This record gives sequence, C-alpha cells and structure tokens, in this order.
Amino acid sequence: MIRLNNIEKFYEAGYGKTFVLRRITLDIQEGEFVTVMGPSGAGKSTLLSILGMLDGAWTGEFYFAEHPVHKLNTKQRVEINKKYIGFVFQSYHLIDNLTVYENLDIPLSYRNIKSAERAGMVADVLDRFHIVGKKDLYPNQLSGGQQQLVAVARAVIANPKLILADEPTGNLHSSQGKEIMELFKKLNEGGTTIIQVTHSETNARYGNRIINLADGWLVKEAHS
Amino acid sequence: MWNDVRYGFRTLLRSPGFTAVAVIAIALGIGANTAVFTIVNSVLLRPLPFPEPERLFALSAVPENLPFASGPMLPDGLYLDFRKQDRLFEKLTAFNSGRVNMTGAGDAQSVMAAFVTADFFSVLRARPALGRTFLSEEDQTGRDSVVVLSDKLWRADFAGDPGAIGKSVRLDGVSHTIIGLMPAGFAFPAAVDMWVPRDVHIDGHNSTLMSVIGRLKPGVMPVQAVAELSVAVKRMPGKSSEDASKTPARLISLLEYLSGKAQRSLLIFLGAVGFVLLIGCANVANLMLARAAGRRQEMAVRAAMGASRWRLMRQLLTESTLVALAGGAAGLLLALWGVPALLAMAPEGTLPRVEQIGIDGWVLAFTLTVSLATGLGFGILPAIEATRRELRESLNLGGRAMTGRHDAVRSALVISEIALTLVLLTGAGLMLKSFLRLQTGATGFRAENVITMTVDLPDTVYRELPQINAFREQTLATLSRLPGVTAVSAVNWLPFGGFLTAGDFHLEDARPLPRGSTWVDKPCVSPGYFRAMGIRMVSGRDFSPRDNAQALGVVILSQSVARRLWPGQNPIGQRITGEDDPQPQDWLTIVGVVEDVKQMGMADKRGGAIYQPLAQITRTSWASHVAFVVRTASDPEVLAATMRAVVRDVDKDQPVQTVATMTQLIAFATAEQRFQTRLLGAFSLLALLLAAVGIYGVLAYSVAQRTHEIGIRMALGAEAGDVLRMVLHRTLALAATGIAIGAAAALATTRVLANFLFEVKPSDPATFVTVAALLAGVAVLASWIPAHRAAGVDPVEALRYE
Repeated sequence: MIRLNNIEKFYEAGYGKTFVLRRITLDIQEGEFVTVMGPSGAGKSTLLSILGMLDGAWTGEFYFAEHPVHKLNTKQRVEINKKYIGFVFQSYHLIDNLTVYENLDIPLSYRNIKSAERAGMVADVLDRFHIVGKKDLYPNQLSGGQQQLVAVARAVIANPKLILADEPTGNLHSSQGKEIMELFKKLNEGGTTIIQVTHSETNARYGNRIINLADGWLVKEAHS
Repeated sequence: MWNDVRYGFRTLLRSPGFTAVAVIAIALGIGANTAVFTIVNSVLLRPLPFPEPERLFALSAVPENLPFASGPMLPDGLYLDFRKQDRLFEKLTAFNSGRVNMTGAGDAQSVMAAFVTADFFSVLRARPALGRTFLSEEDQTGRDSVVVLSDKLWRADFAGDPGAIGKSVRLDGVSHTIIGLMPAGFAFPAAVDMWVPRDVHIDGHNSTLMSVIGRLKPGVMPVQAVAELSVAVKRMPGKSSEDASKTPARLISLLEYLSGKAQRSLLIFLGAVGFVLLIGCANVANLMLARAAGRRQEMAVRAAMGASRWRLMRQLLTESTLVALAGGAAGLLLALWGVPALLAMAPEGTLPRVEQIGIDGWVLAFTLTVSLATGLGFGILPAIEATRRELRESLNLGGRAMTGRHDAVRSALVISEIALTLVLLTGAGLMLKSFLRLQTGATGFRAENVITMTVDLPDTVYRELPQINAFREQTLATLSRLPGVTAVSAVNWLPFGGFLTAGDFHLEDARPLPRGSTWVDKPCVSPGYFRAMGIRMVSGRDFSPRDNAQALGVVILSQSVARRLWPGQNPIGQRITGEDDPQPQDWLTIVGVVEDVKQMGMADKRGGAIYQPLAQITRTSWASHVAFVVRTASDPEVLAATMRAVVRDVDKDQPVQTVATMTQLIAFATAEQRFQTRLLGAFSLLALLLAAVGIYGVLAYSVAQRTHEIGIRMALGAEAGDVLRMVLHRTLALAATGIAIGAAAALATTRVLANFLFEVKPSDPATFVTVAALLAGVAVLASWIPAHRAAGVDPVEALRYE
C-alpha cells in the first residue's frame, strides 16, 4: 500500500541543514497494524504527517496505492487524503462550535456526498460507536475519552483504507486508552491499515509491527 | 453553502463582543456612504423628472473676458436670433428670476418669481397639477397678466384650495390671474414660488444675459447645435471675429446645468466617506485576523479532514459577508436618519433638486453592493492568512498561532488606517483654516451692531425717481428717530448681499488705462453710509444732503481705485465719468477716499468701488432696490419688528424683502463653507476614532501575544519603564510610517480642495504638521492602556503562560 524510498526532510538553518528524517525506506502492506516508536525528536510525527499528505516539503519517493505522491501537486495529494486516509490526533482536535453530529459530518461535506447520503452515514457511525445519545452535544460537554471516541469515529466515517493515529491515547487515562486501542484493533481486523505513533509499549503490542526511529533514521524494525 | 451560512451565524452569535464591534464599525462606514450616495444619486445621477430629459440642454455663449462670473447664458439678442431657426430644437425658452412684491393673498410679501417665455413648460413637457400653463401668446405685453403658482406657495397662502384657480393677486402692483398650479416637487428654476410669462425685448443701450434651455429634435446631436450656435455668435451685430472666438458656444445638459455646481463638493464628500469605510474595513480586518489566528487549529483540522483551501476561505468569507450584511442593514437605518440630518445642515441653495432627494432602489442596490464588497474586502486577507497550509505547525501548536507574518499584516493594516485618517484630517484641517480666515478676515466695515432692511420698489408703482427718493428719505427719517439708533443710511446693494451694480469709467485726462482696470463696483449710497457701516474715511469727505440732483456730480473712491489711478497722489478734486460719450454734466468730482470693502464676500479680490450719491442717480433701476443700514448702540435685532413697521407706515403695500444683521449676512455668505467644513470635520473625527480603536486593538493583541517574552525580559532585568518604552516605540514606529505615507497621499489628494480654500494653500505646512502631531498624540494615547498592561506583567505568571 505504501512504499517509501529514501524519504528525507530537513530545514535550512544558517549555512547548513537540520535533518528531521534521513533516508527512510519502508514498505507497508494493506491490512498491517504498524507502530512507530522512538524518543522525542526522532521524527515520528513528521513521518506521520508525510504519510497523511499533510506535509509536502520532503525529498525521495513515496508511492501510495501505486500513486507516485512525490510527483503530485498539493491538490492531487489532498484528493488522495480524502479518498484513502483518516487521521486521529493526540489532542482530539474536534471543532468546538460544532456538535458531535456536525463534527462527524464535516469530512463527508468535503467529499461532495449528497446531504441525504451523508445523514445516513453519520447515523450509521453514531450507532456503530454507540454515541447516538451524544449527537447534539458539543465537545466541551464530553469527557476526554468520549472526545477521542468521536475523533476516531470522524476518522473512519468516510471508510478510509488507512488510519493514521498520532499518540491517540496520550491525553487519556488507561481505561479510556484501552477502549480506544481495542477499537483500533477491531478496525484493523476489519481490513483497515493502521499506523500509530506512540511511546506506550502497551499500545505497541496491539500492532503487528514496530518501527523504531532515532534522530530521523529508521534504526530498527520488528514484527510482533 | 447553506451549512457555511448556518455555521457562520452560530460562530458570530457565540462571539457577541467581536460581532457587535465589527458590525458597528461597518455600519458607521456604510451608513455614511449610503447617506452621501443618496444625495449624489438624487442630485447627480437620477434623470430629471421630465420626459426625455437627455434631450434638454442649456445654451451658453458668454464672453470669456466678462468682469464678473457668469453661468451658462445667452445674450438676449442672440436668443431672439437663434430661436428663429427650427432645424435643431423643437422649442427654446428663455427665463430669469427675481423677487416681486405680492399683495392680495394675505400680507404683502416678497416672493421669488421666474419670468419665462410662453414655451417654458412645453419645452420641459411639464404638466400642471391643476389648471393650465401659458398659451403661446401669453408672454406678449398686454396678455401677460397671468401667473402659475408653485405647490408650496399655493399651500402656504391659499391653504391648498383648488378654488385659487381664477383668483387674482397683485405682483408689483399689477393684477395677475392665477391660471395653474404646478405639482409638488416641480422646482425649476430652483426655489421659485411662481412663474410669470414675459417675452424677451431688446433694450437699445444694454444687452441682458438670459438663461436659455431647449429641447433638441430627435436625431439631432448636441455637437450640431453647438456648431449652429457658433455661427449665430459670429452673426451678432458689433461682434468682431476676434470677439466671436472669445465667446465659446456651448451646450450643457440640463442635469449638469442644475447640479454641476454641487458636483465637486458632493464627490469630495463621497471620497471622504469612502475613506471612513476603508478605515472601518481595516479595523474589522484586524479583528478578524486576530480571530483567525485563534482558529488556525480549527482550519487545520478541517483541512486534515479533506477541506480544500477554497472551501475554508469560502467559510470564512461567508462569516465576513454576514458581518458586512448586518453592518449594511444597520448602516441603512443610520442613513434613514442621516439623510434628513444632512439636508437640514445644508444651507439653502447649496444642494439642487432637494425635493427629489430620497432613498430609492438604486441606493438600496448601492448599499447591498458596498456591503458585499466590504465583506470581501475585510474578509479576504484574514481568510488567506487563516488558511495557509502550515498544517503540521497549527495542529501541534494547539492554537497559539501569532506568527511573525500575521503581525506584519496587522501592522500594515494599522499603518494604512493611520495614513487614510491623516489624508481626511488634513483635508478637514485645510477647510477649517480656510473657513476661519473667511470668518475673521477683514471685510472693510464693522459688522457688529448693524442691522439692515431690504426693499424692492416695483417699477409699476414707483415709476419715477422722485417717488423712489421720497420713499427712501421718509423711511430714513423715521428710522433715525428710533431709540438706540446711532446712524442710519441706505445703499442699493449691500456688501455680502450677493448682488452689485458695476461698470466702466473714464478719466478726465483721458489717460489710457490697462484693459480690465476700469471695471469697478458702483454702489449708490445716501449720506452717512460710511459712518453707519463703519467704513474708514481715508481722506476727503462723505456725501452730504447738498449732493443732490441739482448739485455738481460727486463720487468717493475706494482706496485701491485711488492708488491704481493716482499712485502716491491725492485724487481729491480729480474728475471721472461713467459715460462713454460724456456731456459736461456727466463729469463727477472726487470728494473722498474710503477703505476698500469686500462687496461680494471674503473671497472677493476684484478691483474696488466708486461710490455715487443715491440722490444724484438718474436711472430708476439703480435706486429701486434699496437696503437701509442702521447702526445701534446695543443689540440690533430688537429693532427688527419696528423697522418693518416703519416701512408699512410709509407704504402699506410695500413688503420688506429681508431684515438681517450684517453679522447674519456674513454668516449666510459663508454658510456653504461652514457646511462643507463641518461635514468633512465630522467624517475626519469618525475616522480618527476608528483609527484610535484600530491602534489600540493591534497593540493590545501584540502585548497579549508577547506576555511570555515580556516575562522573560523582566526576569532578565527589564524594568517597567523599559517595557513601556518597548510598547511606545512600536506605537511610534507604526504612527510614523502611517503619517509619512499619509502625508505623501495627502499632498496628492488635497489639491482637489484648491477651489474651496480661501487664502490657504492645499499644501499648507502648518496644517500638515498640526494634523501629524495630533495623530501621533492620539496613537500614543491609544497605546497607553496596553503599554501599562505590559509594564504590569508578573514575570512568574508570564513564564507559566502557555
């Protein structure tokens, strides 16, 4: 599904360059549950941003579902994001002045889906995640775990083939975190490819492959 | 799209403070623009209320070297010659206006009448509301004892009674039958109360200039009529080809004829309120930028969910458009109040077509268009800034997003506000300085404690000079006996009265004089005039009762004429004449020299005056209009009613035209400048307030964003004074840049005010410096609270701030 070849990202700093990612070469198959680990500043979130088409300033080759992303412009990358990818953030990033229902509707409204069809899809996801009763609440009326649940629901509502999760349980306590990880596992078992960034060994064990980064380099890979 | 509108409403309602401030700022700008555009639309743009108004033109052939200013007019002889042709115009009509004494409908009163040829109403294709207009022969002498009334006069003096048709009134003592009433709103020429038919007759001695309008035939182009008129000018008797070339023939559309004089000042006002709106937009743009900074995370999340940049911008522009539309609606309400207020402030005669001024569909369309453009205007920059795709940083930063670029944009907006405000304030400052010069400039006379009373003696009643002189002397005698009166006199045309008599003169020694230097005012006065008016006698003597029709003719010169003709010499005893072929009795001896007087207002720079005694005037037309001048020991206004009663006692059918103090006349003469100055001043103050709010907003936000930095500086040893200086330094940098740009722009734009300024240059350095200092001061004042807030930051709290 994903093929990276010598991906590098750097910032110009004075007379030199500060590298964030160095010669990352990596293949990820459809249906895998990959965990990216490493110390702070290793480049984990940067890698996730590149995979999620949120960052276009890098060098190397990147194939996503056979699309040569390194040859695409911003608009084309956005289209791939819309078609294949769902994102879950550490800080949930729900939109405060929209209800749960409206937060779920947002990704669909950007995909030119007719409103009647969107209503059906939102209802379906509300039901699937058991949050029908919360559809008219605003994010500040939900607990952290509930907000992350909605964020995950928002990430999957458009049926993405790939979910990218950046420290999805970082702001949750352990029982809420477990709930979210169980959800990811279930999605993966349903065929969704998941790539997560985490510091947690416990969360890493939900996946079937661990990639370690350090100082921008891919230093180790392991299958669990 | 509907979702964007719904979300936009909700977002704005959740921020009532921001929304209220933004809507008010926009409402003030759009309200001012709508009010001024209402007037511009009604006066300059809306077609005249006549059928096919685009075919109506005023004809003009006025010599360029006239010693007095003239609007579009034709000499009477040219009009009579030109109206014989029927190739180009369906019809032509000539008219002028003047005051007449009306009796027979209540008290005797002085009313404004238009004297028109019989075709007047048919040229305009104007129909009466009641009765009829003139038949084709009714402007002939003997058949012209008819009159058409205006709606205003009909309602005031006849209580709106349709039975007024067929009744008679006496105009200057001659009975006229009322044959028709014009509808409300018909006001051409402006401000007339009635229309009286009068054909044009040639006077062998003088040529009279007349207003002439015509309706072009279908298919005839104005340029053809101009060519034909030029040929007619060359045909005029006594006109050399050189003279003809200096008498340009012109056709002016009737719309321009009516409203051309007001065009410039109206467009300046429209420009001024446009500036106010731009400043308001910059303010709201700054507010929205600050809001957008706080919403970057939301925008980044939406982008991560798949929103294209255009979708995000569309959402933000929808919000800004909602603010602008709300501001536009509020602005329209403000304009509903503002337009009548503006009209009440405008001196009479300043605005043409006043009766047609009102909000119509075009004004509503203008307001809607300006609202939409405003929403786009102040929304586009924040939308661009908020949707820039630094998604990773926005998502990681969690909401703190005051980037250096944002700060630069906000600073640029504030600088532009300051620059625009400086342009407006400079214009207002120049107008104010000019107005003060007008108010306080030397008039040549002492206006305080002087009251005047003007009467127009009709030639149908006062046919001979002895009658006119008797009326005048009897009135003067009675006025001189009133309590508190210290001096009385009379003059035919008062200074600052808007009219004068003038003419040429020749010297006894027949010296050739430079061309144009022999044209002077020729006021005719009774003895004691200079004392009553407080005009200084430089040398010689005043006129006395002995200077009558039987005595040798005498004159008094104004100082500039004396200096021009006899530089360094005493002109007393010299002789001049106003006749081209003088007989011995036509030579007039100079008996005195007085200080110059501004006859036609403070801006009058013409060539002086030669005074003659009223008792020695031989033309009734020069004596029949008389203004009595009364100087009192105390408040002159208490005499007003008594003075009217004096005239009533002398002639009960003679109405008084006006009673006014000289101070009031001067104020009336400067009323238009006062109005322009007040209006420009009001817009400038509004702009200053908006700019001050803008400066405060930018600095307050900047201080809030730099709290962490300020905390570090204080932890490293900075004191409160250092922090204050840091904030004030930023303020002065913003102000200085804005002032520099604004000064350059003001130098370029204030040139449009040149025609409105009196003894003040558009680049007057004192005004520029004063305005710059004022703006800098306001900027410092606006920064005071944020500066003190910054200086009061607790470093411990600040370093914990995230």
